This record gives sequence, structure tokens and C-alpha cells, in this order.
Amino acid sequence: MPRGRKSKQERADKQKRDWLKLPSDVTRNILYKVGVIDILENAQKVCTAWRKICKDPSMWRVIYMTNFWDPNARPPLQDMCKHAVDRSQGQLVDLTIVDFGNDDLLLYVADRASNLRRLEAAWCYEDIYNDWSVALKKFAVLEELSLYETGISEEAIETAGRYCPMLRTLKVNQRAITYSGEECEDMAIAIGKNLPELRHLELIGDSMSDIGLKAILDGCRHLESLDLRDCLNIDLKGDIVKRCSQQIKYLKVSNDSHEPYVYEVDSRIRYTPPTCSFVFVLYGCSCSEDGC
Amino acid sequence: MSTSSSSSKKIVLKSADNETFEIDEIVALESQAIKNMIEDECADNVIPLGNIDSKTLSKIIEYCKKHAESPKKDDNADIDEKAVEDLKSFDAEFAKVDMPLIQDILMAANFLNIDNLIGLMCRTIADRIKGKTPEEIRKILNINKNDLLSPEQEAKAREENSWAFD
Repeated sequence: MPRGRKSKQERADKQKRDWLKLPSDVTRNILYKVGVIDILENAQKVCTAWRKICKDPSMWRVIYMTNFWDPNARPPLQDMCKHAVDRSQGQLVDLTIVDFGNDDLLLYVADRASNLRRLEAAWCYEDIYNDWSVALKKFAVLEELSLYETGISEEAIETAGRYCPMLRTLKVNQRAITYSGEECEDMAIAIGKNLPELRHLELIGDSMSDIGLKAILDGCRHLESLDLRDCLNIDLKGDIVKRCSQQIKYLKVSNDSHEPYVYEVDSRIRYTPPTCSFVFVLYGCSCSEDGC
Repeated sequence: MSTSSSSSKKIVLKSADNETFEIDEIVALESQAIKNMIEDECADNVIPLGNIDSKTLSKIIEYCKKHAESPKKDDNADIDEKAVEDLKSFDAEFAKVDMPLIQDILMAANFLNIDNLIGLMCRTIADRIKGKTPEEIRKILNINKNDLLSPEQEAKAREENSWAFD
């Protein structure tokens, strides 16, 4: 009797720990957390079951890739990102590229991701400024464009107004500056003029003054949140304070700048010393835990 | 009246090796599967879990207890940071077990539908296989060798990886 029971237990153990019997959404969850580089370099070669999952276009609906200050890693990252985009076969909805984006990659994505709803780009060092106007024409269902330390032209804002009717969230943020520079209203005016449907706007570190702010308030009537921290040229003089409080539900201005930026608090993009050459994380799993 | 008594209501879980665990209902509700059973009134006094052994089940109960006691995030936007940190360090400690047990917990958490625990186990596994070669990953996870890529598939995978890191 005991012998029979034991072997049954052993069989159960063996069966239980067979990875290939894991439901594929659990395996996906693991692979998401492993990240793009490990998927493409290693995980997809572990076994045919994993390879099959890694080949599935739906695995690539969300692509999150970051480089940490290693200039040599940028070209391979660009190639790898292109490959990941290819694997999505048009299903890509959410793309984050940090510290390796360039014009070539942006245009490559634009031609292959017509379902893209969210695009986040940070620290695109190469000249990408003007290419946004070409790329944005192809993102017809884009809902969120989030840029950090990444240039975009006023012309591109105009393009977004015309070709991205679903755009509700725009972030064109810059590193905190500690002194107020020359006033420049161009971006604020372009946004006010072209993006009347915006709900959420962040222009951290912009050099607009009250004039630019007024242009935004005049143009973006549906705005719910507005983040203008480190816009040191804004004085909030006269009735503009009242207008802000009437029109904007969540307002952050320079005075609130003790609050850290998302890039500083977000563990996904936390500053990492150059010793860590590059880290990829593919996010988008459904779990809601911290630091995931 | 019924609300005050429900807070101390007990549920009994029975493992595959016939060990019973009496726990507060609130702890059991961390499992979406058990919650559904209770709501649909399908749960008897004792819930048999024929595919979960007692070692795994006691770990899972330990996890659910801690998480049931902790204030939930969405209850209150500014819950104190200390509670969050405390839960984080509990999770970190909890995950410091060997791979077979992690696999067992993951399977069981998946069966019991405990979202946070699935996430924690997946992340733990991901952290352990990050940066490892396919061979090392197979070894860590004890993956069945019957499912290796064919030489053709291997070649194809190599061909696809046209990028080269210095």
C-alpha cells in the first residue's frame, strides 16, 4: 500500500513540475518579465513550446526596451526593436523606447504599427525632431504620445492634430532646468492651436510664459490635467490663476517642483549607473504589483 | 448581524496528502477561485484541493494571510508607505525558496487564481533566468529535453538574430 501511494505521489510530482504543462498565459507572464533581449537571445531557444509563444504576434503587442547610457548598444537595440516590431505583425499597441531611438527606427515603426495606441520615447539623441511629422501621419489611432528629452517640431504637433484624432495625452517633457531661460511660446501655441481634444498635457521644463499657458487654455478646452512643473517663465499673474482653477482639474506648476518626475520615481526608468550597459524590460503583463 | 459573524467565519482546506488547514474566510478570499466557490455556494465546509500538497498549501496560506491583513492599495490612496514596504519585503523573503517549490506554488496559485502570487512567482522565475543561456535556463527550470529545438529551428533562430552586441 505505502509503496503504491509513494509512486503515485512521485508521478504527481513529476507531472506537476512539467513546465510545458503551465498554461501558456503564465509562461507569457514569465517571458514578459524576462524582457525583449532575453527573449530574443535566449528564452526563445529553450524549447519549442517557448519558441512558439515567442513567435506569437500577440506576445509583441507591448514592447518596452531601454538602453542605459551605452552608446555601443544603441545600433543593436535598434535592430532588435525592428525585429520585435516585425514579430508583432501589426498588432503592436504600446511601444516604449528609451535611449536608443532614432529617425530610422521611428519611420520603420510608423510603417508597421498602424494600431499603435501609445508611444513613449525618451532620450532619442539622434536627430528625430522633424521625422515626427512623417511618422505621426501613420499613427491614426494613437492615444498617447509621451516624450522625454526628445525633440519634436511644432509642425509635427500640427500633423498630430490632423492625423491623430484619438490623441488625448501628450507629454513633451524635459529635464529640470534650474534657471529661467528665454521665453518661447511656440510649442504651447502649436498645441493650443492644433490639439483641442487633449485631456492630459505635460510640458515639464518648457520655456513658455503666461502667454503660452493662455494659448493652451484657449485651445484645449477639454483639458483635465496639466503639468507645467519647471516652466520657470510662467508667472501666473492676473486672472490666469482663476482660469486655470476653473478649467483644469489637476494642475501642477513650478512651485510643485519638489515632487519628482515620473522618470525619477518610475522604477522602470530609474537612472542606472553606466556599469549596467543595457537592460531590457518588456512590460505589459496584467499583474498590478509594484515594480513589475 | 450577519456581517459581524462573517468576519470570523472559518474555511477548511484539505491538501492532496489529506492535511487540513482551518483559515479565516477573509484569508481564503485572496483566492479568486475559492471566492467564486463561496459566492456560488459551491463550497462545503471542507474544500478539497487534490492537486496541492501540504507543503505548498501552507506556503500559500502564509502568503494569503499576510496579504489579507495588509491594507489594500485601492482602499485608500494615501495608505502608509510603511505598510507597502513591509509587504514588499515580505514578498521578497517569501520568494526565497528553491525552484521546485516556486514551481509548485505557481501551479497552485494559478489553480486557485491568486493574481498577486502568480505575478510574484513569475517575476521570481524571470529574475532567475535573466541573462542565462538556453542551456542554463533548461537546467534551472528542469525543462524536459524532449522538447528541444530541431537543428533547423536552431539555425533559423540564429539567422534571425542579426544584431550583434560588442
